[in-house]
Order: sequence, then structure tokens, then C-alpha cells
Amino acid sequence: MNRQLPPHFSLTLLAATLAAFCCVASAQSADPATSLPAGVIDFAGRVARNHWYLFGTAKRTEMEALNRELREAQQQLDKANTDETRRDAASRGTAASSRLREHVNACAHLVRVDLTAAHPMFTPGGPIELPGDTGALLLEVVAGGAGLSYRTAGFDLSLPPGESSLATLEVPASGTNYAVIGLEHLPFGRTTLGIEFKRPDQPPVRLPLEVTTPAPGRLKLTVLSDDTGQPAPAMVRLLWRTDGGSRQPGNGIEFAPQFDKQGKASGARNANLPGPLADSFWCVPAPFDMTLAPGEWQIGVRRGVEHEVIFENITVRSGETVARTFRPRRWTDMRQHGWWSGDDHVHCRILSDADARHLMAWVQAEDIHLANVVKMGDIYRTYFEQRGFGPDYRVVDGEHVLSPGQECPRTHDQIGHTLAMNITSMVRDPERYFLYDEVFDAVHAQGGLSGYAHVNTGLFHVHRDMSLNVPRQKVDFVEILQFNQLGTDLYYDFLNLGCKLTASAGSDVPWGGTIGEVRTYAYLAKQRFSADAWFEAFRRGRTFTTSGPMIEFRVDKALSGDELQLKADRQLRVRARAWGDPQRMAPVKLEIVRHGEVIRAAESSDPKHPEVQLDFTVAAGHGAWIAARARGGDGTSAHTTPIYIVRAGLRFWKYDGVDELIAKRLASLAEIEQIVADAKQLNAEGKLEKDRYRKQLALQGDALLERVTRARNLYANLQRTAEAEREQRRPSGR
Amino acid sequence: MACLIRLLLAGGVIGGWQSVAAHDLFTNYVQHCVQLTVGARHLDLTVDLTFFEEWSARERQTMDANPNGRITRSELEAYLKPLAARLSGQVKLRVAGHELPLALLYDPEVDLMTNDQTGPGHHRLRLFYFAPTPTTLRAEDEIVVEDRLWPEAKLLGTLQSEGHDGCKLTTEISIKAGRVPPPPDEARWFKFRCVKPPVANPAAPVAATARPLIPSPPPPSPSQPMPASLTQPVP
Repeated sequence: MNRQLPPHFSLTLLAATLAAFCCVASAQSADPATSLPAGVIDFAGRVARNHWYLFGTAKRTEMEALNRELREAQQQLDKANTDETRRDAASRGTAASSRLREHVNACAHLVRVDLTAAHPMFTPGGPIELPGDTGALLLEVVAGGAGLSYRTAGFDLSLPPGESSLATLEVPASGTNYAVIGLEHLPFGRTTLGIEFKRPDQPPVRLPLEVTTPAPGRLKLTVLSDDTGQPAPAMVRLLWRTDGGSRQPGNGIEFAPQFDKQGKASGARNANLPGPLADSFWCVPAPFDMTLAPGEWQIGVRRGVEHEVIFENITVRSGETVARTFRPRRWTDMRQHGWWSGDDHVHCRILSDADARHLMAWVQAEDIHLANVVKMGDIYRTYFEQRGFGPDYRVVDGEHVLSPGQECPRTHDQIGHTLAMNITSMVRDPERYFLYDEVFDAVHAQGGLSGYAHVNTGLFHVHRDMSLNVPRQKVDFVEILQFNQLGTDLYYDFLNLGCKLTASAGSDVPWGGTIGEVRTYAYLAKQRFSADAWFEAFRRGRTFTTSGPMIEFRVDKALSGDELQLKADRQLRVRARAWGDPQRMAPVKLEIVRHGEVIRAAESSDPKHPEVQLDFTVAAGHGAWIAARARGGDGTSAHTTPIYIVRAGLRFWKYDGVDELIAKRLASLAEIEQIVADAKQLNAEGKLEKDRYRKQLALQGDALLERVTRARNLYANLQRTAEAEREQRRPSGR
Repeated sequence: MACLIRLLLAGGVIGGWQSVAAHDLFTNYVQHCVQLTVGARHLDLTVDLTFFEEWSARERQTMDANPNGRITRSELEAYLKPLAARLSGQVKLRVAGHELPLALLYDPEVDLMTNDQTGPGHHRLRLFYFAPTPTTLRAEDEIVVEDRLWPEAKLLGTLQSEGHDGCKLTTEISIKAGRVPPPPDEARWFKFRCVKPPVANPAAPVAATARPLIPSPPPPSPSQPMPASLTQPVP
């Protein structure tokens, strides 16, 4: 069983006791009236967070309260600047410390050892029962004389490999020491540990201690599709309440080999989603049967955003089998509304049927219908290899498709990252790497779709190439939602310039948390789902992106991505609806955005029914783009592609902001000119022989600058267009 | 000089790796997930830092004290012990402009994400803080987390908030994710706004005397219904 142990088990160790002992020694020399027992705060924190089970569930909150009390007292002590405040703080800390000691002394798990005895031995002598494959020992170690101290430590029975059952505990030369020792990777049944006590200037005392762990129980877990009632892949988390650590489900898929050691190269996926959804979940392709330590477990089951999340506590008993079947219920079925989900940015190697099977299970577990599985390139090489591109290399399982695409070209310090979907071959030429427009054209020639990644956060100076190629209509889409971060600054700037762009979203696993944590829905209406139908809907801009809430949006009869052509001003009917998972997304807020400004907003009021609608009219004016966006109460977001309202003879741009918008773009072009000039200068000085990016930028600089010139001309034309529209836009021109 | 040597060594390793870096996407970022829970008695602040490749490599280099390329448990502990003190002043919490006395709730934790080797990887550092909830907390008060952790790293930021005892919060964020790092002395501000303050808990706080302890609200349990937490996207 592959265990993801709670972090404390990764951190605590007996070797570190030396450092703690130094603290003990120094603290013992401090004024006892104004100091706390050495190590008591660490001890209280460790017990409260990691080993509360020693004291039982009923005492958990009390141990937590004591931990806080001790820490606040210590803080007061540290800041006290008068004897009175010092005494008050010390008194507070002493009281809490005494209370903690009372709990420890009353604890049924306490094991005592008197090192001053002629023949020291543990009392009780064991075996000490531990709860499972992890546990803790609570010790009282009497070394004689006065003094009180506390210790924390940890011990991993799997390290070092081989026979490794000796734990060393450093204790003060005198006094009473309370220690809590975390143990992990315990075998089933009976184990003889060697506990070695080391005291300054004295020979070590090594004592055997028998510990036992109970026989494990078994869990049989099945997740059913809410659509078919049949077993289906799902994202599953198993959390043992006793230690707070999660375990890999018996058949949880380890994706690391398919991630080329990139990003978060593990099958344990932490979604960029709120609350416990961000904890580690594994893709489980089918029912499984596995042993688990007895005790309370929490099972978490997710099947993508359209399904309710299940968290259920179960009790596993030694030698018994617990069987659970879960059927996560859909709170919405977007397919019934004609919307089909996709993820435009999935990195994962597919070189074999096994690779494909694993990834398909993940896609199905997250209820994504189309995954753009992108081979990634840079100026050096490629990653996340694929068997090929085009329809022949799609992996199709029912209404789920893995479609190979590319994320390339990508330059990080220059002009940004690009994406392509539905390609028939990868387009990559390192000798012309900075000429993104050539890639966009080649992708379009293949029937594919081009776009920019990470536009939500403006990463990698993507605004520079956007300034070159968006007004030239070279790209179809931009990622405005990633890592659950909706970012619209750049998106709105280009829309406000009258440039059409489809809203998209991609998880970017393995850097992102999980496939589909953000997603793009494409509207197929009543058309049967297929990859081709999805791409065509996407090409038309009939999309919205979301990490949670759903949106429907129309202006008159137009859908997202549509253009409403008007000969004159008139009233337009705007209808929108946003709704979310009643379990977690209330309230849902819906906003209608025109030229980036909110023109109408509403929020759901029923916490059990997070749904809100808007239905109103607005004047077309001189044209605009209008979009809907939504926000769930849990911090998830959604945003549609706009509907473009175009008046005859006018752009749909934000006319009164054109000068500023163009100025921004010209500044971006100036940045390109500058990085080219810098690269050329360094290259002329022979300083770029180890920097292939800038070397190639220098070599390709002239061609890139030609494109800058073209873009400058284009923006000059836009300024002339603005001037030409001035008369038509006068109030009487409406 | 020892520090300088270590930095140079780390830089050399990282520099060498960068020159053949597979994927620079996010490699020099640290993701900050700031979670604030406000109840009647305490504000709990958890900062999850996910170090992406470059910064993880640097920290792993620091962790690997011996240095043999493998990070042992004792090395992790030794890395964490001074870390708490070193970072203590780098996170501040203000309510309506007044700084609260932020204390560590637990020792910091590191999750190496199943990779105990040095070199590029990902790892997560979790820092736990708490402070007493000010009795003056009112609706519309701004709660600001000033974050100066690893200020030289590029930042991806997320916020989550959770209200207990009737408290409701909204979130704002005033950092620019993915942009040029701010000057070292400039904090990233994660902002929350109190919509509704918590209802005062009639139970007295744990007293300094030996009278029975009044337990604080139980720690958040994932088994409970999903909290009404908020994650504010970075603008």
C-alpha cells in the first residue's frame, strides 16, 4: 500500500532530538517563574495536530485549546516588558502546562520508564497496542532529580532499509521528560522495538518494547456512474482519521511515468479548487479491494464539477470487510443543455495503449469529454510525446475523446506560450521559433485551432505576441481561466479593441491540479457529440469557461461567439442564467459585462438553490461586446465568450478607450523591439552562444521586426478608423 | 562566507539545470495559497507554499545538509526548525489597519511529494498561524494578510476563507500574479473583507487557572458539509 503519510511523519525524527535537547538544557537554566517547560509547546502542537488519538476523540478539542493557550502565553512572555505582564503570561502558561501534564499522566497510553532504577523497564511492559501502520508512543522518562521537559520525535521503521527497529531518544541528564514519538511503516502484528535512551555523560540505556498493530480490515469500494449505474472511473481520496494521512487507493493510477518528471509528477492530485477538494485524490479506474488499518476513515469521491462531491466516514474493523458503493449525483447535466466539456491544456505522454487507458480513465473520472492532450515543445526539444496527430490518433471511448495537440512555440522571457488543437501534425521550427504567426497559419491550414496559454495571468509576456497577432486575426482562443484563477485584463483589452477571441480554459496538468478543474464548455445544441463537432462549436466561439458555476447566455437569439449585425440602434434582450452546486457554490453571482463594465448583476438568495437569472433590455448603441460571468460562493468562476453587437460601418470596440488601448499595444510592440535589439547586441558581442533562446531571437529578429512594423501599421489604421467613425458616433448618429 | 558559498553552489546547480530545463513554465514560481478561518475566538491563517521546480531545487539544496543528493528525515527536521523563526516576521495580519499578534499554531510542515531527491521537483511548505479574534471586528472591516515569504520568487496566489460562528467573509487580492516580483520589502497583500462578524462565543477562553478548560471550536473537519469558503481569482 503506497501511503501518503501526513506531513508530520515526514518530518519528525529521532535524530533531531539533539536540537530539542539543547533547548531543554537551556530552558532548564531559565527562571522557572517566567518560562514554560522546555519543549512543551512543540509537544502540545504535535499532540494536538498529529497524535490526538492518544487522548481520544473527546479530548481532541481540549488538546487543541491547550496548544493555543501555551502558544499565546509564550508569545506574551516574549513580548512582556514589565514584571507584572511577565508574571501574568508565565502564570497563564504554567496553568496550561500543568493541565497538559494532567492529561498526559491520565492518558491510558502513557508508558513510563525510570532510568534511575537498577534495571529500568517500561511500565506497562507491553505489548503496546498501536492503531495501525502508523501510531505514536507516549513516554514518561524519569532521569532523576528535578526538572520537567517535553520532547517530540519520529521514527520510520522502513528506514534505513533492512532490520531497522531501533529508536534513539535523547533525554536530559535529570528530571522528568515526556516524549511523544511518532511511528510509521509499522508491520502488522507484533514488533519488538529497541528504544535507546541517551543522556549526557552517561552510557545509553537500551530497552526492548513490544508493540502490536491490529489486523487490518478490508475496503471494497465501487463508484457508479450516475448516468448508467455501472462502475465508472472516479477521483477518490482515502483519509485515515487517526493520523490525518491519506492512502493511495488500491488501484489508484500513478501518472508519474507519463509526466516526463515534469510538474507535480504524481498520481496524487490536489485540485486548484476550494476547501477539501484541494486535498489529494487519486484516479481510480474501477472498483477496488484493499486492506486498511482499522479505525475511522473518510472516503472522498469526485466525478467532475457536474457531480456532487461525496465525503463519507466509514469504520474499518480488524478482519472485517467494508463494502461501499457510491453514486455521485449530477447536480446538473450540461449535455442536456447542449454543452460538452473540454480541457484545452493537458500534458500527458501517450505512447501506448496503456498510456491511453490511464489518461482516458482520468478524463472520465473528471467527466471531461474532450481533452486536448498537448505535446509540449520549446526551442530545444519536445516533451509529453504522442503517437501521432489527427483523427487517426484520437483515443475515443464513448463520449470521451483524447485529441493530441501541441503547446508550442513557447518562449518564457520573450513573447509567451501558444496552444493548438485538432492538428494533424506538430508544427515546430526552431529556426523560425519566434514567428508565431507562421505556426498559427500552419495550424489553421491543417484545420486546427490556435490560441494563447496563460492569458489569465499574463504569464511569459504573452501580451507581446498577442499585440502582434490578435489584431491580425491569427488566433482563435485564449486561456482566461487556469488554476481556478479567472483573469480578464488582457482579454478585455483586446475585445475592447474590437478583436474577437474565444474564451477557453485548461488545467495545464501536471502543473495544474487535475484535469477539468477548469474547463471549457462548447455548445453543440442537439448535435451528437464528437470531437469534430466539439471543435467546430469551439471554432464558432460557442463556449464558456468555468471552475464551478454554469452559465447560459443569449442576446436576442444570439449565442456566445455569434455576431449580431444591426443597421441601427435598437433594444436588445439580454438573458442569462447562472447556477451552481447547491452543496458548495451558494450564493452564485451573475454579472453581464459590456466593454468590460458590469451593466447588470444579480445574486442568488436561496442557499439551497444557487441559481440566478437576468432578463433585461439594453440599447445596442454603437455596438459592443457583451459577455456573462459568474462567481460561486466557494470562489469558483465562469465566463462566457462574448456576443458581438456590430453596427453597420462600425467596430464593436470600446470607442472612448481606443487611444489608451492602442497605446498599450504599441508599448508591447516597443518591448519586442527592445528585446530584439538587446539580443542582437549581445549576439554581436558573442555573448549568446549558450543561450539558444536569445541567440535565435537575434537571428530571427529582423523577421520579427517586420511583423512589428506590420502591426504598427495595423494600429495606425485602427486609429484612422476611429477617426473615421467619429462622425457616425455622434449622438445624432445613433 | 559559508552562506555565500552555499548560495553560489546552489546557483551553479540551478543554473546548469536551467540551461537544459525541460519546461520553464512556472519553474521559478511559488504558489501561495492563503487560507483564513475566522471564528469567534481565533483567526486561523494557513499559508500553503508550493515551490515549483527552480525554487524547490533551491530549497532542496538547502535541506540536503550532508549533501548527498537525498533529503533525509533528519535533514528535513533540521531545515524546518530554524525556518519557523526565520519566517516569523514575514507574515503579518491586520484587521482594520491594526496588526494582530500572529503566533505559530503548529510547527511548519513540508511535503516533498514523494520525491526525496535534490534537484528540480515540487514540494509544499505549510505554515500555520493564529491570532485572537479582535472583539472590535466589524462588518466591512478589511482583514489583510501581508505576505513577504520568498519575495524574490514569482508568485501565483489564491485565497480561501471560511467563517465560523456566523462570520461571513469575502476576498480580494491585490497581487499581480506572474508579474515581476515586487521589491523585497514590499509585501503581497491578500485581502479579506468581513461581511458579518462572528457571533461572540459566550464561552470564556481558556483561563490561566486550573479551572476546567472550555474547548475551542473543533478543528475544521473535511467530513463536515463543504465550507462556504471563497477563493478569489487573481485579477
